[in-house]
Amino acid sequence: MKKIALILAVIALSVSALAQDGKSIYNKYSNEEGVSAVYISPAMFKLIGKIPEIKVEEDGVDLSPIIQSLTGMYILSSDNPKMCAQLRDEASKFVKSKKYELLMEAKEAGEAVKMYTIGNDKTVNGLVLLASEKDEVSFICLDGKMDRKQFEETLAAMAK
Amino acid sequence: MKDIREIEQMSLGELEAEALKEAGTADFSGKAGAEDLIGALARAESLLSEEEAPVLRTRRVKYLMGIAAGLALFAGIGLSLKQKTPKDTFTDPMMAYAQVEMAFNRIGEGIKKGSGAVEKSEAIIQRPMEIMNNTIGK
Repeated sequence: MKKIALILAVIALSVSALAQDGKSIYNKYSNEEGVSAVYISPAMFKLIGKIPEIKVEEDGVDLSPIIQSLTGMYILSSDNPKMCAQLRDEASKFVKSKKYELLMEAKEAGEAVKMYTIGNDKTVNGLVLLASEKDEVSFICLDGKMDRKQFEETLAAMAK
Repeated sequence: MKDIREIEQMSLGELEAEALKEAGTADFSGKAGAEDLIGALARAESLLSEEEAPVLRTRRVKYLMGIAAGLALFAGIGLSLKQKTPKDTFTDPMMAYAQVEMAFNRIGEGIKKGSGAVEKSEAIIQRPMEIMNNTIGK
């Protein structure tokens, strides 16, 4: 009986780890005290792409192709120390369990920024940004089907 | 006829031999003989089934564990599917776009930090390279 309980616990944990994604992290923390949360749905992304008066360009970088290929955006930010620690751990577990690749990591003046992507040679299916400061953590998760070449060109242009 | 304690201490082989011996010595002719034969077979079967009990128990535990694992898997899948879709934070696409833009600015800042660190390290690497080149040139 103990063995069965142990096996059930292991399976439940592994299934919950597999089920973890940007949405589940957002659902878990968005209503917590000291956490600011933003969710933009696929439908809203379609609307953004359709409205002609929106100038989808920032500092000479045309974001429109990327914005139109997004299917969801989850942003969580907190300055509550307890939530910061939990959010940081959960986000780290999430990128590990989903096998996100580390795109870049920068540490400067007490701030650590990590960026991860998931996808294949042609497509980027997700981007996660985790920025940790001493007393603040920000988590940005983008879901979509972005053309890798276009995505990399946009990121390179943004870095200039 | 052996008592129950002796039977319990016997191995599977001994039990089979005993059952066959009993079957061999019994007179199975006539109605009483047939009843003896059925009785001997029933006893042999019960003795053999007692010997098989641990194997059956193991099988049953494995079977139950399989069912439990399947149920847990289904429960997990069910829970993940049941996960509610969050409500859009903005109803105005312009506001949503402003937020997307802010998010991309944040991503851009992160990339700049990363490329800035690369430039710094390049500059640090460049200095010893220059010294080495100058030394070799002289």
